[in-house]
Amino acid sequence: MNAHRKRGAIADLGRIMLILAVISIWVVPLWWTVITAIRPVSETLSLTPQWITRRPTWENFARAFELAPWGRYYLNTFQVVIGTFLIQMVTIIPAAYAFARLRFPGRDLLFYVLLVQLMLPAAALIFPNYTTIKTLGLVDTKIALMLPYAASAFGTFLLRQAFRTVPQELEDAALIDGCNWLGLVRHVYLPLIKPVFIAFALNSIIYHWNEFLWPLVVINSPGKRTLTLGLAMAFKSQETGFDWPLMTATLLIVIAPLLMLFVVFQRWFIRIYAQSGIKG
Amino acid sequence: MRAKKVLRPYLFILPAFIFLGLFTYWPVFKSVYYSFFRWNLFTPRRVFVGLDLYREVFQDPLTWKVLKNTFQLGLETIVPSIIIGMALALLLNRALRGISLFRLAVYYPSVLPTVALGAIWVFLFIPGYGLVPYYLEKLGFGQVRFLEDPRLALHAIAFVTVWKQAGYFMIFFLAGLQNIPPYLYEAALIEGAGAFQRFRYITFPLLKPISLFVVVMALIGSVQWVDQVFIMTQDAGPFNSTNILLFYIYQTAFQYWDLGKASVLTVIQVSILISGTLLAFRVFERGIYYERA
Repeated sequence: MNAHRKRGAIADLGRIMLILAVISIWVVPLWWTVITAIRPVSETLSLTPQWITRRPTWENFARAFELAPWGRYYLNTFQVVIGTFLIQMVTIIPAAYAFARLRFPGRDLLFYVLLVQLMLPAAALIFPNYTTIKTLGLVDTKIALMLPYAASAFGTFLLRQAFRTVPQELEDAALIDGCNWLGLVRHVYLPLIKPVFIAFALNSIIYHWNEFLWPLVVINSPGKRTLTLGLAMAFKSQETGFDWPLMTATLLIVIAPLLMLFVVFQRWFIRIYAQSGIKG
Repeated sequence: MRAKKVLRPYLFILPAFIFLGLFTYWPVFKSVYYSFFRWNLFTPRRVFVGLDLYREVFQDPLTWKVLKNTFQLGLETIVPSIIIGMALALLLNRALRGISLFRLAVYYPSVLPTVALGAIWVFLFIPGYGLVPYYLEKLGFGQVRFLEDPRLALHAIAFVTVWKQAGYFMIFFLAGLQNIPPYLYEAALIEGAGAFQRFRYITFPLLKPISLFVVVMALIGSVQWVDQVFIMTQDAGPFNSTNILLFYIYQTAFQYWDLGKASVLTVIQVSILISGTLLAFRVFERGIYYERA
């Protein structure tokens, strides 16, 4: 019995060693970014890689903050991401409710028409969408960043599936109590599908936070840049004589808050990934 | 009153369908329509030319290079991401202390901006000085120039893409693994099945539905990997070695302002997406074991 347990412990140890070796492929790049960012510039002249630093410093971050108006870019990104999500709610919730609970001619066909969007990501349609945005006179506006994502087949599908699990009796009871449709959604449907709702919200926020190509096409004014756009521009303007301590500090300014959000909400991420997952 | 009741469901789905029409369906038709017109900096007013632009696009060697790159990048990202995602799931599907931290360590890149991750890898790939070439040289591989060598640049971008998304796919496979009833493994053990047989006859077939889902996701995702191309190489160079279709669309429309050609390329892109998705469904659905109640 004891020997058996011992063998199990050794197998576990072997597995942990293997796991550590494998995940180092993912951890090392992040470690290297952090260590370069907190290293004094004088130390970076070393020609052999230094895996730690003796004198951690904030000086690179101070320089990175002067490189571009990151606060502004955060605000812009925040507005776009929240705006996109709110518009999505306006289109998704009623449609998900209708497809889950109402009967009407053409329902299934229309649902399939909606699902085709899963095959046609907005990125593939940047050119025709740009012409539409131009016709609408919305080039170089934040609203233009939101509109192509306003309808989400993924979100509608996810919420429809969730709404269907809500017992019909609860809806009937709420309607008898004089609840209107908005009240019904607010007090019955959304509270009961909270995990799916939060999971979709996080998914939408992350996707649009990270988006790059569409903002690159639509936004011209430096003051309207999102974080990814600001980062790419700072990176591209550095091309010769790269100042990597500065650049890694800049990278961390952009990704650190997102990483922290991710660690705090990791439970929800896993849930959405487990439930279904095409980004939208 | 009656009419209102009949119309009500349609009013509910109207907002979604307005945007769906405006930014998904209409653009597809518009691209097809514009693809029949010469429309560029020298011909600012559209001129109908029939299929001329298609002929020109398909006669241009660059188009074929871009298409080859697109398929190569797709192949080099989809297949390894899925295999590695599945392997990671098998590796990390254990009740060990700290296992959630290990999972976190592998899938954090899937929530970060690709431009930021691409920049980190540019840093790690700097010839001579970057971490990867430095240790490769120590190991006797000589000077490796990942992003400057036209034979390596696309592979390097594929690698970074796999690195970014494998952990994301792992989560789906983990969910799939946790849905496999344990009694199947118990029965297999009683029958004397080895580890490989258990994987071959239980785990793998039962992961097929989730695999279809992951394949479709990877496929639709793969055409969108232009952020890496933008950040990691200059103008998809050297020699267009990392130019993929979506980047080429971006260049054609927004750098060269050849709008007719950009429409032709968009039509090609949409066709690839639709046929690829349908093909994935056909190939994979055949082998799927649905649990019958």
